[in-house]
Amino acid sequence: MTHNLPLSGARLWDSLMEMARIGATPKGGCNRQALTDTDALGRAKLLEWGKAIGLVPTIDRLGTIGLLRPGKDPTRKPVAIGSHLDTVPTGGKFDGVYGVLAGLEILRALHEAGAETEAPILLIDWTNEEGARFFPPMAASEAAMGLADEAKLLATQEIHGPATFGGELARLGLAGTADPAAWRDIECYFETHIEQGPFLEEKGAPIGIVTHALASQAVEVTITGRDGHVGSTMASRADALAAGAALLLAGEKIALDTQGGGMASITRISVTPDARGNIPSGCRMLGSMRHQTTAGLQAMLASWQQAADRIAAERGVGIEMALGWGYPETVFDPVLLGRLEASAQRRGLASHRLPTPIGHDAIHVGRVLPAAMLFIPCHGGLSHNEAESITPEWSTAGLMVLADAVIETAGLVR
Amino acid sequence: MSATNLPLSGARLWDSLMEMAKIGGTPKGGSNRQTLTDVDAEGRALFQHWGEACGLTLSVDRLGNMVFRREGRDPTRKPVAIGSHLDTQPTGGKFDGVLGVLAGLELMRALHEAGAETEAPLLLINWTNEEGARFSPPMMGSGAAMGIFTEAEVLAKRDAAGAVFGEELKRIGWQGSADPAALQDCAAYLELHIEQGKLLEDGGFDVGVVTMALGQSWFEVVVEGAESHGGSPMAGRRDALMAAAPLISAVEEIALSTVSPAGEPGRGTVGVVEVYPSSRNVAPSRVFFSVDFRHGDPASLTKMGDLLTARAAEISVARGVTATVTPFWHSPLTPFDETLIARARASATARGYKWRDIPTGIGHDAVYMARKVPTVMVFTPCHGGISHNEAESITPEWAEAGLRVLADAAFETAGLVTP
Repeated sequence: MTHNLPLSGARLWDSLMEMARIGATPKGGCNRQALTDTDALGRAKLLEWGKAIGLVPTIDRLGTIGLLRPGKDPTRKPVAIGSHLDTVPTGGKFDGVYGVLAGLEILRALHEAGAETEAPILLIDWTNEEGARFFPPMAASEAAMGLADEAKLLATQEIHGPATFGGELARLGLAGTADPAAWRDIECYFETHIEQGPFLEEKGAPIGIVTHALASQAVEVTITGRDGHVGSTMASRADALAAGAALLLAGEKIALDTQGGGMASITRISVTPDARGNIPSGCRMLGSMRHQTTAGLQAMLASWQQAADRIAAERGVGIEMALGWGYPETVFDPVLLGRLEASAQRRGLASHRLPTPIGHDAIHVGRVLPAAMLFIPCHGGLSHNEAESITPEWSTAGLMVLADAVIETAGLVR
Repeated sequence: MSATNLPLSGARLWDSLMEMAKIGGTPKGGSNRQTLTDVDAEGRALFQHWGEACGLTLSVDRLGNMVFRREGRDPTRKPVAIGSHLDTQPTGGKFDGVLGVLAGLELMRALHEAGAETEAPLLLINWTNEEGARFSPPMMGSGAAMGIFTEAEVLAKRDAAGAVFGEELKRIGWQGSADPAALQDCAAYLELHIEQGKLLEDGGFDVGVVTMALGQSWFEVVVEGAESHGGSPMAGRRDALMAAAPLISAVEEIALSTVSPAGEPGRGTVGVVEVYPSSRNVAPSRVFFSVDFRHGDPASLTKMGDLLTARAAEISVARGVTATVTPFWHSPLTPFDETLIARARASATARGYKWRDIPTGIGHDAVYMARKVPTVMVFTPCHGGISHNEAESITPEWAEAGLRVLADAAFETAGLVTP
C-alpha cells in the first residue's frame, strides 16, 4: 500500500528539539522524570499539539494520555501508536520521546492532508515508563493490560522520598477518569524507539525490526560477612565486598558464556559500615540478567545462584539472591512486523531483525495484544545518558516505516 | 622482691574487665562506650575511683587523657608509662583497649598491695578517643600528645550529629588543664592489647610480642566508563562497575601474593565504594573506591601500590575504561623499641608461655607513642580474630599471660626496688 501523506522528518525533528527544552540539562540531555513539574509541562505540550490537529484527548486514572483521531469505520477498534515522554534523571532527548512524537507526526500528516483512515488511530503517552522515580518501570502499561494492580501502583512511594504515585498525579492534576483497561480495547499496538544498543549503527541499517523481547529478571543481592578491622590478617576475614566483586565477575562470565547472548549487570552497590578502616560486613547489590528465552534466563539465574553458593561457602559469608521485577520472553506479532519490514524494503532502507533486551511498554501490550516494535539506531548505543544522539535521517527513516505500517493497518480511505 | 612475687591477680583483672563492661553494656554482650558520651564519663569515673583506691594521683590533660602517676624512688628518672583506651566502637567488645588499661591498673594494685616501690615513676594512661568511631580520625588523644595533630584541630572536630569534641569534653566534665605534650617526656611506653587477628589463636600462642606497626598506604581509585542500559549488549559496554570488580578482587590478590623475604603476606581492603549514577537500569559510568594496603616490609608495601596501578592500567585497556589509582595517605612502618621487645620476649620465655613475634596491622596509641618514646606492645589472642564486634572474646588465661608479660617488662624497665 502506498500513500502520499505529507510526512515531515523536519517537523518531527523540530518537535523533538522543542520537547527537549522541557527539563533540559546543561549537558544537552533531559531530566523529565515521571510525575514531576517538568513531566507536567511536557504532557501539556503534547496535549496542546494534539488539540491543534483536532485529536480527542482521554486521560486515565494513572495519567496515561490517549489522543484519538476517529476513523471512518465505527466498528473498528483503534490502531494504537505509543511510547513515553518521561526520562531518567540524566536522560537524552530521544528515548521514548521519539516514539510519541513520530506517532504525532503521522497524525499531523493525516490532518494536513485531510485524509481519513478506516480504523481510528490512537496516540498513547504512557505514564512512568522509566521507573526512575517510582519503581517499577512500565507500570502504567502493565496495569492497563491487566498485568499489575492499579491500587498498588497508585500507592507506590517514590524511591528517594515520601511522595506517592497517586499523590503526585493529584498534585499535578494529571489523573483523568478513564479506566486504564480502556487501552486494551485496541486492534493492535505499534511503538518505535531508539535501539539503545550499537547493533543497527554497526550494521549501517536505519531500521530494526524487533522480533521479541528478551526475558528479564532483576536480582537483589544481600551479602552478609563479618565486621573487622582493615589491619587484621587476610585469613581471618569474611569480607562482604570481596565476595560481591567475585559474584559480579561470576555474573558477567555467565552472561558472556551463555549461548545466544546473555546479559548481566549490577547497577547499584552499597557496603556497610562503608568506612575506610572497616572490612565491609554487608554488601547489597541490585542486578539483572536477561536472555533471549525464558528458559535461557532461568538457566543463567540457576548458574548465578550456584556461583553465589560456591562463593558463600569459600568465603564464609551469607549470600541471598532475591528475585525482583521481571518479565518473560515476549514475541511480537508477525503480521505487523511483516508490514514494517515490507515498508523498509519498498523504501530501500536497510533493515535488520533483532530482539529488544530492554523493557518497553510494547512488551506489556504485546503480552496481551498484537503488537510490534521498530527501532532506529542511536550513536554508540548510548542511551539513558545526556549524550544520547541520533541523526535526523534515522529519525525520518523510522517515521516513514512506522507510518506505512500504521496506515496499512488502519486503512487509508481513498 | 622480683616481679614473680608481686601479688598480680588474673582473677582481679578479669573481675574489673567484667565490671567495666557493664558500663555501656549491650544486649548482645558487647560494649557501647563511645568517646565523650555520658557512658564514657561513667567509665572514666569508675577508673578514677579504682586508681585512687590504690594510691595513684590523677591528672587530666586538655584533651581529656587521664594520667595516673605512681612516684618512683629516683626523682631524676623519667616515668615508664603503661596505657590504652576505655572508649569502644558503637558495637564494640569488652576487651579492645580496656584490657590494656585495666592490666596496667592491676599492676598498680599489686604494687600497692605489696607496698613495693619502683626506681622510675609509673604512669597509667587512658587515652581519649582511640577508636575514632564518633570523632574521626582515631587515636586522637595520643596523636595530639605526640604532636601528630594540633590540640586546636582535635578540639574542633565534629561528630556526625554536629557535636564539637571540645564542647563534649567539657560537657562530660573531663577537660583537664595538663599539657598533653608532657607525655612525650617518658622513658618508655608499654601497651597490652588483644590481637584483633587470628595468628596467635591459630598458632596456639599465649602471647604475641609486637615488634612493629605495619606501614600503611591508602589509595583512592576512580573507574570511569560509560553509562549503558542494563539490557544493552555486553559487547558494547564500558561498564565501570564490571571493570572495578576485578580491581577490587585484585586488592585482595595483591595482599595475599605480595610476600616479604620473611614470608609475610600483606593486607588489603576496600572499605568504601560508591557508584554513579546508581540508577536501577543504568550500568554505572563511574565507580569510586578506597584501598587500604598494609605490610610489614616497606619494599613490599611499595610493590603493592605499584601492582594495583599496573592492574588498573591493564583493566583500562582491556575494558575501554579509565581506572585511576591515586595515593591518599601513607603511614610508614613504625618499629618498636628493641630493648623493650627483648624484655617482653625474655619474660614470655621465662614464664614458659608459647609466644611469637607479631606485627600490628592495626593502629594503636602505641604507634603514635613510638614516634617519640621507646615503645613496645604485647598482644593476647582473641577468639576467631573477631574485634570491633560485640562477640569479641578472650579467655581469662590469655588475659593473665598478657598481664604478666606486660608487668615483667614494665618492672624491669622501671626498676623494681628490692627491699
